[in-house]
Amino acid sequence: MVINKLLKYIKIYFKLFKFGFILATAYRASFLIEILVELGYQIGFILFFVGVLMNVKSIGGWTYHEVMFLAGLSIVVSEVTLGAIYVFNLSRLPEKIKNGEIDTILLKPINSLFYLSLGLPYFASFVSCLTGIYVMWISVVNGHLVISFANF
Amino acid sequence: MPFVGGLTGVSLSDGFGEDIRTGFFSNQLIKPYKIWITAFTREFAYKLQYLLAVGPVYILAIIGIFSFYYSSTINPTSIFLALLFVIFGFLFHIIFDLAISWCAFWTTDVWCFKHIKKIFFSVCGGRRFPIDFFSGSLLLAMEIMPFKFIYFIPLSYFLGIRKTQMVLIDTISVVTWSAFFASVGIILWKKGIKKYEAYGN
Repeated sequence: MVINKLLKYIKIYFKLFKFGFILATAYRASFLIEILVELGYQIGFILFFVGVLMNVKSIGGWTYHEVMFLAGLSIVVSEVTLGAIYVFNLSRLPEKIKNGEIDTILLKPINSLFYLSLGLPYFASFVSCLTGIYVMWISVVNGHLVISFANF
Repeated sequence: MPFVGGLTGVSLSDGFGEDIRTGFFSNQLIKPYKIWITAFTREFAYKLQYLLAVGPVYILAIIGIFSFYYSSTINPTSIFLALLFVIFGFLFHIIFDLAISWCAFWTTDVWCFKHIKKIFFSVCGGRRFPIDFFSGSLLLAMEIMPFKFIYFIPLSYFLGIRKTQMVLIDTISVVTWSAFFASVGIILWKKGIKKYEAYGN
């Protein structure tokens, strides 16, 4: 019963994801600018650590590559969270409630909280989380970091 | 840092960009004044208001901090130079922001202006960390770019980190960059105003 419900919501989420992607890419220039802005923020974030670690060899025992791996992981987690839940969903929720725009959502035969929290993903965040993955990968390769299932 | 940012910060591009995009800009065009003078006086008034309302709190906080942490490098000269470069930074920022604002004649994505500015100022302006954390070509690039005048340069002079011999070079640099962005702004304005059209406002 619970699994069926879970599968149903995963299916709905994929549909919403697809719809969100079509909506985001309808205006190509706008979509590209969104990605560039997100990348800019991440470059700023990475440059901060590069700047600091140009002057010191380690921070509290954390080497350059370990810190960069952590920075990459932070980018991935924050971008996915922002993109899936925050930017177009939770951040706009108070405004929607104030303007009486959630009535139509409350009438739909799905969990309202699910739809309001995950209804419209912000795709630029998902695309730009690739930067974080790249930074993590570079750190693992160049820093010879050993990642195993036991670490997780 | 927030005190200096409050003095040098300008947010013209958000308002002008939105006005151009929505067509509300027409209302300003028919009025008998120059738009750049209005922008300048409005920002100047905001700064006066900021200085009167928020300034005393920051000044008390700064005095409080320095009564515990005495620094011999802070003296009347360093305070004067910091104030001088705060004024230069403010003027440069207005000119730069106006030049960015006129890009709205060609794009509808005006929301990105404030983000692009924020990114450049946080990394290249020294808001996130002092730019002399960098070395080699990265430091050279940061030194050449004009964004340092918003945060890094006024604070460096205030703390006495930057040598007074650099005053002339920094002044020439900020004036040159201001002249460059003023020229870009004028060109964009002349081309953009020919292209601009709106109805129903």
